[in-house]
Amino acid sequence: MESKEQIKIINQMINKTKEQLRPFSLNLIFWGALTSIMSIIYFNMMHLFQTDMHHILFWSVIPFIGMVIMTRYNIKAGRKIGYETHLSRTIKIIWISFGIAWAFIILLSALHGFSGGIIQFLILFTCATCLLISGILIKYLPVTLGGCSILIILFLSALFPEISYTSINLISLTLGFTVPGLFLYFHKSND
Amino acid sequence: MEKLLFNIIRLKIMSTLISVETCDFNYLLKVTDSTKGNLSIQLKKLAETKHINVKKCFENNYPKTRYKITSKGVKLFEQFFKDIQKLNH
Repeated sequence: MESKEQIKIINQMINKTKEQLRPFSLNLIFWGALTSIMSIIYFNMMHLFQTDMHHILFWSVIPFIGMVIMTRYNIKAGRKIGYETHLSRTIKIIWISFGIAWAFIILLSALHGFSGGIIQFLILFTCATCLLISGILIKYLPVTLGGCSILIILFLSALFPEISYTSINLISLTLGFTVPGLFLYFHKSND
Repeated sequence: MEKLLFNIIRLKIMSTLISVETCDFNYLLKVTDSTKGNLSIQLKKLAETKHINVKKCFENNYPKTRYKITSKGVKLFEQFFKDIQKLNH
């Protein structure tokens, strides 16, 4: 076999491995939709949450069930694809780190009785950072802009404290997760 | 030059494994256009020379084998690529 032919084979094999971003986009859509619905329920039915434990249970049990569902989906999607790229492993590690940070924030707020505003700020800030890094890594502008938009909204919410939690949550999660997720889902490179 | 990668199937396997973190047997079978028997033999040779790692597990009661390139395999591939580039120029 000639060296030219060998280089051609190497190129062909490397090009056959494509980044599979559809599972990541479905994760974004799922979390965007779930947390938006949760925010609407939470801020419109505040009277149902009598104690601090009610608030913590609501914001920990439902996301935990969501994590179990999405972990199962991600494992199944990974098996179906048959391979894992270096990039998808990096993205996976970033979001596992977010999961750990989220659990840590919930635990700390249960122990020290943080206010809802602080918990929301910490979680949104952490997920904005993860989103921003993910967007830069996959070189996909809507995801990067999604992360930036959450950071801008958090900055504005600090400047104007009269903005309601529901508005902050809904706008930031829609712009940061659902919209970039839908863009990514229908992106031509996924076909 | 390392003769191990003169075999087209082994070259295809190593080129695939260099671009992924891990992959399974079925994916390698699909991308290498090889037969199950031939692919198994070539994978065994690469595993014996410690150029790839083999991890066997069960998924839904079915045996599944995953492959990962080792640092020795990466060095071999890089050296091989440099050598063929030199020959090409």
